Amino acid sequence: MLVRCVDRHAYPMYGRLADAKEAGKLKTLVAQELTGAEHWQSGIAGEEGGLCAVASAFAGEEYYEVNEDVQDAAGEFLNCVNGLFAAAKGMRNVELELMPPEFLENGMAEGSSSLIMPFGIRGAEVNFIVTIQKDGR
Amino acid sequence: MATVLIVDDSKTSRRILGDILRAMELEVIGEAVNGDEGFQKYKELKPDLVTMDITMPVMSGLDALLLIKRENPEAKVVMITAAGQKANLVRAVKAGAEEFITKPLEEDEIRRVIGRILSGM
Repeated sequence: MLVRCVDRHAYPMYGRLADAKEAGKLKTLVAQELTGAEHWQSGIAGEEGGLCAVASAFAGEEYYEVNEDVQDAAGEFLNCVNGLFAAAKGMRNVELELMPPEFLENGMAEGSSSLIMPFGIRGAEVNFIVTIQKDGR
Repeated sequence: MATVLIVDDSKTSRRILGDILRAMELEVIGEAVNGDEGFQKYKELKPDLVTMDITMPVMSGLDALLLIKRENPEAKVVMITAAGQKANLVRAVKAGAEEFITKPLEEDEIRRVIGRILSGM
């Protein structure tokens, strides 16, 4: 998905489980909720250069600082990633509906547990965060 | 030259889609950022074709589709959504959507789907 949607030079790094508060403390640029049979939230956080690289590669335009255009492009990237996740869940008869991406100022909601999956792109690190929410089933 | 209205809350997607449609020699006569604005612009501009994102704030693309089809049952609306939204796509087809395109936007798919609709007009 990283290669298809962003950049063939992006590469995944080792992911880790995080406690409930850690993901909420990361400065998340954009997040998206998936609701329905289960309740998930995922988001993107990271260094400015990495976030700009994700947005630039996805949108096909060069960005050098985090602004509304970078948020928008990162939100669309997240939407595409989560769409594939929802499709995979759908094959197991778990239907999830994507909510519009949200631009956050105070981090993601604290969930029951989180998975932080860093990836490298153009020399910077970006975190893809997946959290199952407290009311998740 | 056929006219198109793009309804999508993402500026990035509107730009990518607009560039492809203009390269197909279609005229993008308007853009809207949610379903409500899309419906208002549809009534105002009467485009030949509407591309409609499903997941949007204020009013979803599905609700806007229903309003547009009530206004004009012959309206041509292509739904655009991320993968994995099968239930929404089934609702859209039942409501009269012509076709759907999945994100990420791929030029070949857009040309194929929209070209097929326009060739039938």
